[in-house]
Amino acid sequence: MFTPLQIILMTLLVAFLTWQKYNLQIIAYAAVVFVGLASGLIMGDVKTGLLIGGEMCLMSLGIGGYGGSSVPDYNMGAAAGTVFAIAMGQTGNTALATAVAIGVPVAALGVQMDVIGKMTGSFFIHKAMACSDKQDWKGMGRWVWLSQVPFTLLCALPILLLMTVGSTYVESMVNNFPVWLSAGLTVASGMLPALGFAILLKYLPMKKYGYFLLFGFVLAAYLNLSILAVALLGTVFCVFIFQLKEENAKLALAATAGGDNEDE
Amino acid sequence: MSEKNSVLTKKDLTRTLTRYVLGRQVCFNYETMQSGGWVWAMHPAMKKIYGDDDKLLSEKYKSYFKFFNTHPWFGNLIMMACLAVESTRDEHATETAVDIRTGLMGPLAGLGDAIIWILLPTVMGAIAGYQAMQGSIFGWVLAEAVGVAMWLVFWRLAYTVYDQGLSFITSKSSSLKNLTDVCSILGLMVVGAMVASTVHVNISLSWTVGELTQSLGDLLNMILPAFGNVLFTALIYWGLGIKKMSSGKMVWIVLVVSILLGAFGICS
Repeated sequence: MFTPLQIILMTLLVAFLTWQKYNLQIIAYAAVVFVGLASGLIMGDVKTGLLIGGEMCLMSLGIGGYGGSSVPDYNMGAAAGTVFAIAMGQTGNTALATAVAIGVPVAALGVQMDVIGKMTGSFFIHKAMACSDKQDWKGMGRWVWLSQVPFTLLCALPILLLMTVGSTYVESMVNNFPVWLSAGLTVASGMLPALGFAILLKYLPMKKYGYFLLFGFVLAAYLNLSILAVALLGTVFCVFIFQLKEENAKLALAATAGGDNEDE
Repeated sequence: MSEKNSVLTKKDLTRTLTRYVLGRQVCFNYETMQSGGWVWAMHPAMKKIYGDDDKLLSEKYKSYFKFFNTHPWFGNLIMMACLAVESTRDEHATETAVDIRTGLMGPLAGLGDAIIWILLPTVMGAIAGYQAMQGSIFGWVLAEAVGVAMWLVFWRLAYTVYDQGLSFITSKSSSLKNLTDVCSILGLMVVGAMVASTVHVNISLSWTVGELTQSLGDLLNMILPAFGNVLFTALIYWGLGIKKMSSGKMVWIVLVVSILLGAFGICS
């Protein structure tokens, strides 16, 4: 089903993405679209890759590992979904359904891989500290970087296993999709973006400013404004609010300083 | 920090930054988080500042190996602020530098998350995702361009921080909080809009009374547009608050529930 070259390239791609997601971070925004594109290129169907990358990107909106937490990895998901959809010769909506069926569970598995990977970090940091204590700088660098071996391998493991020992199982599973499951997967692809936004809301100051949700909602739902339009309009509001807050702070400062106003 | 630092040349700074962006979160662990990559990145610069006094470096690294976690891009700036302090070769330089590091990592992580990890990727990701689904790569090119531009801003700013210290950030700590606040507000507005447009849950239950077929979804949408979207986003938000719930478990729950809803024709 897959050529050895495709398996090697995909494994390396996911391993590379795992490192770059945390360190270089030069592919920072809409990275999932990039993953779809790159996987499509490796599998020989860029168009389907782009389609699946786009769908998975929308599902991943709002999901981010804030403060070192582990979250579903849609890079892994998009990679897995794309290779199977293309290898089975699918396009359009069929490809999207397959991508959700395979990609979303793989993305969820990414949480466990991330947690285990970060757990292994403890071993390496203590080795590196010990080297530093002995002024062995080479050893310190070596242990710090060796931690990337289990970490990136763990994250690349699902795609490697799926494309090798798992491929026939996945293929027969996808070929025997009952109609009800396809209908369910369509619902899932529409509902999963809600999970990203719900996670995001947990990190935003809901208690203090939650009512601004309503503002954005009305602009989009009743006035049919696009996301960019809402963001631009919101920027105007926020700059204004920022200026108000700054002026209030200045006034408060002036009041405590006994009315002395030096910065006018 | 007021006098110009000249211990490290521009080339030294570039070397440190290069090492930092390549390895800023390698060796991530739950005890010290980002400290491993940090020490590895700063080592050549520290060696230049303190010469070959390996024993001294070893002592100093004990402090730098302690817990550190911030927004990686703001980490560029914190690194340079610390090196600026170390460049004074003051007796208490490392103490001061590590205090600065610990003091800044929280507020800057908050600001960085709000702008770099929430606001921009959500807006750019939505544009790129929609365009990609329509077969256009343009949205992704735009998103990548914005990302690279921001990335370069933080790279460039790092040199300024070494020369002038972080005072232009720290002296405005109240502004920093206000900035984080308004970025969060903007984030909330964008999320509110996306619940209406990016989420797609249609309730497709309907019933027939006599000759009239009434669709529950249409009825609910007349009360509130995108009713299904709002309902399920609210339910998931509530669900995430349940004890021992994690985003990883929630993916499975959403997947199973939506398959059931689709299979029984309740949603489409």
